[in-house]
Amino acid sequence: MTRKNNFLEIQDLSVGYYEEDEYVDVLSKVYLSCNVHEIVAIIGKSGSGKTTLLKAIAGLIPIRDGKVILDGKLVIGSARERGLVFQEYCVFPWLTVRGNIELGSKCGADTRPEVVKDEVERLLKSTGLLEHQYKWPSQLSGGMQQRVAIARTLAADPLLLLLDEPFGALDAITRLQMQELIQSIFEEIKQGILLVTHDIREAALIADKVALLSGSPATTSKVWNVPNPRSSTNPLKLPPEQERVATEIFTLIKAE
Amino acid sequence: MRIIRSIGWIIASMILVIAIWDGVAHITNSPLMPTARNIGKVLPKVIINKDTYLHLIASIILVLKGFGLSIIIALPTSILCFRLKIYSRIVLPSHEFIRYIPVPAFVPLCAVLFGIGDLTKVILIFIGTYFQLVFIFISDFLTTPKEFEESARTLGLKGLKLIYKITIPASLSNLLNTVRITFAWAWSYLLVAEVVNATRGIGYLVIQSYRVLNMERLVVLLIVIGIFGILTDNILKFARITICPWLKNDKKK
Repeated sequence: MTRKNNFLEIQDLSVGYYEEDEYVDVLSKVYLSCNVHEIVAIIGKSGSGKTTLLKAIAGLIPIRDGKVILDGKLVIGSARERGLVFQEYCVFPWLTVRGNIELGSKCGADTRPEVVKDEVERLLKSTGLLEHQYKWPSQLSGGMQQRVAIARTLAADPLLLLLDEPFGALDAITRLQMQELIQSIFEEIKQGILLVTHDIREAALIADKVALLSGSPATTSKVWNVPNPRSSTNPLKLPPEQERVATEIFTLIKAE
Repeated sequence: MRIIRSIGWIIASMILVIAIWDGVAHITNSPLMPTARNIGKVLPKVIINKDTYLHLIASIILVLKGFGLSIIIALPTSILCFRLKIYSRIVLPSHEFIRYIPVPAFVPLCAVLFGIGDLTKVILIFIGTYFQLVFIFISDFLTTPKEFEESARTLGLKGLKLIYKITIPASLSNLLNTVRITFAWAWSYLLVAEVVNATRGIGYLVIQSYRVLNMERLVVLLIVIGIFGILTDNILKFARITICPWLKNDKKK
């Protein structure tokens, strides 16, 4: 399968829901693109429609207007090409760590047992879960559970990884470790990543592009290209170009 | 250690009930209210009697038939209601209607339609539990976080695969808990049926004792039913943990 640049294109997207027979717009005229092997961070205030946008791209909620095109194909409904990781309830508690990743791999393009086994082993190693593979999720910390969820989603070999505030519920130290993990995993994979986050510095640290959702209904009010993305792993001490982007985002959000 | 402590609490609770019973029996001083001592004399006789167990087994078989039938039909019905709005709109109103009719009210109708044999008892247990099970199973499915299914859908799972790989395992521990709780209802409805007409079963023994006013034996039979209930409940709890081993480490279980 050939994967082009601009392989995710969101054009004029409007999404909403019915509330007592009245249609409420959540997103309106959203434009966004993501290249192959690129991280795009989506940032915005609480209730600005960030999760709604991810769910619409994942095909979990209907689109009112506009379109989402992935790898040249119009997105209709959910499919394994767009894997989603939630902040909470991210792992299946009735499966072990290995079972969770295996389930993802069995949903992938090549489900031959030897391929599934190799893929599971590879992901267990790359996410640092090898020694925990036979544990139940309830025996793991929040950070470890997020690793399992990310590994399971990657195991299904999606074209696009959708992360909905995956580190939102984690403590500061674990959050830093997860940011590093995402950066290291990202170097190994070919997928694009759409990352929803509240954390401006996190967005400036790991994303190639940062999109700000604002307004009611929300739209993409500005998109920043981050120079030298992932040149640091420390969100407390960003390189000057990334610091500038973070300051600009902060100023714009504060002015809303 | 935990088991010993648990048994200790059960014994303490039983001693409290016996003390209250005995106190009331002594105050009323009525032959219809046997004292704990008189009950204690009859207890071993009933417990070592083979017939008690034959009647108990006959009752258990009927409960398993009626309740098993309920589960087998209620599970797919509740899954369909949970998944398909149109199906739930068609099915649930009639179920709601029947759910509110007390089971004893069905006894004459069932007796006329199915005779006065075991089939009627099985049908009564079914009526008493099936209509409740459907609603509780749906509630079990609804309380499962929707993120599980949403995540699975983005892995490409759909249709029947989504149901048996995600919907059922995600709700399994709750479904088994529901089965454990409603099993006690099935048992109650069997006794309702056996009280009306029976030639065997533990309810039949209770009615026989009542007819001859053998109150000591009647109370002992109630104790046997209670002990059986506690045993069953614990077996079902153990089965739940065995079937859902991930619950052992789950503090929210």
